[in-house]
Amino acid sequence: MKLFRKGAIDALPVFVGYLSVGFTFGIAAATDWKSSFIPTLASITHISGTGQFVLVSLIGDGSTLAAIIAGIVAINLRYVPMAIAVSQRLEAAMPPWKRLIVAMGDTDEIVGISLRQTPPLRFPYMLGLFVCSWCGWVGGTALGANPATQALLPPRLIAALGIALPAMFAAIVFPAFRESRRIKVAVAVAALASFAMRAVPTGIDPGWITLAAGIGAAALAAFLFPKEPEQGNGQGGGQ
Amino acid sequence: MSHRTLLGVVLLTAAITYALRALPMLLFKRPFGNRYLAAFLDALPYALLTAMILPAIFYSTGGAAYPARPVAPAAAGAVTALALGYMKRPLPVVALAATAVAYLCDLLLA
Repeated sequence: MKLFRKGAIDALPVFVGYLSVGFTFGIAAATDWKSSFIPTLASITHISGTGQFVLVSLIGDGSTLAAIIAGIVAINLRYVPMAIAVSQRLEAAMPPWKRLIVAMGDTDEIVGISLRQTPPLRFPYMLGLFVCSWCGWVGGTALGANPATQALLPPRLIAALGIALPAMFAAIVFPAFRESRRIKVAVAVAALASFAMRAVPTGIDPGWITLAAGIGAAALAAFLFPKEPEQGNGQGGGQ
Repeated sequence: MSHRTLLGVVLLTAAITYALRALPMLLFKRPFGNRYLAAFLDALPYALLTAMILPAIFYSTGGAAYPARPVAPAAAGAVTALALGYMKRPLPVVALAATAVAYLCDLLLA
């Protein structure tokens, strides 16, 4: 119980961040999907700001199911190395069912906190991190998606709130952009490709343009700047 | 997209997201050896997010109130977001500041 409480307290800053970001996701998704239940369900089950943003963006573009699935796999692929990094630090005796629960709360922020702790990571601590951050994410979404909240906000403000999610993702990309040459190349190439492929009327589905620009740019950046041999973790980052 | 289809898409993609988190927890206990793969996975989320927000962020303050999708408030908000992001401000601060600038710009132009 003591460890659970420590986890929950360590996750308090994440709780506040998720509450506000979840709120803006709730508004955006509820406006687009004309439902307050489905956005909340998405936050309960996905617990991934980036993944849920991909959903809103690709569904809004009228993408095919194949493009939506490819987009979700591509944006959430970073969880694979992140989960491995956490997995190595969990106490060795932790049974698989507890590992499966820890996996649910494996967001960028929670992984970030976990990697800063001295291993081994114990189950109650991980559960505290997960439950606290999850409550913020789901609570924020439910508030934002609620028709009563939306009725309180003027339409102009709701329109302006459309920029909140892309703004947040700009805040994820740019600090990393400053830190690493690999990410500088990836971001610059992805931006150019995304603009260029949309400027020329090719008739390609917008979802596939996003994927092609993103995956192509990441592959080029990885080819030019492969990872240094001893660096094992530190991937991902952001929401 | 009907609500039933939407529900199916949300749950299916949630299952995929969970699988990406859960399978490595059970299967792998060591980091990736291949440095190209590790670098690709490192750069991928940033590249994808960039392709997703550019140029879409410039049309992001459209919505039901503005079918004409005015670019000026969104552009002001986007510049705010890029600048504050570059200055490494926390995510909620950037999101709220960009929203506030877009909103104010919209009120001034109205």
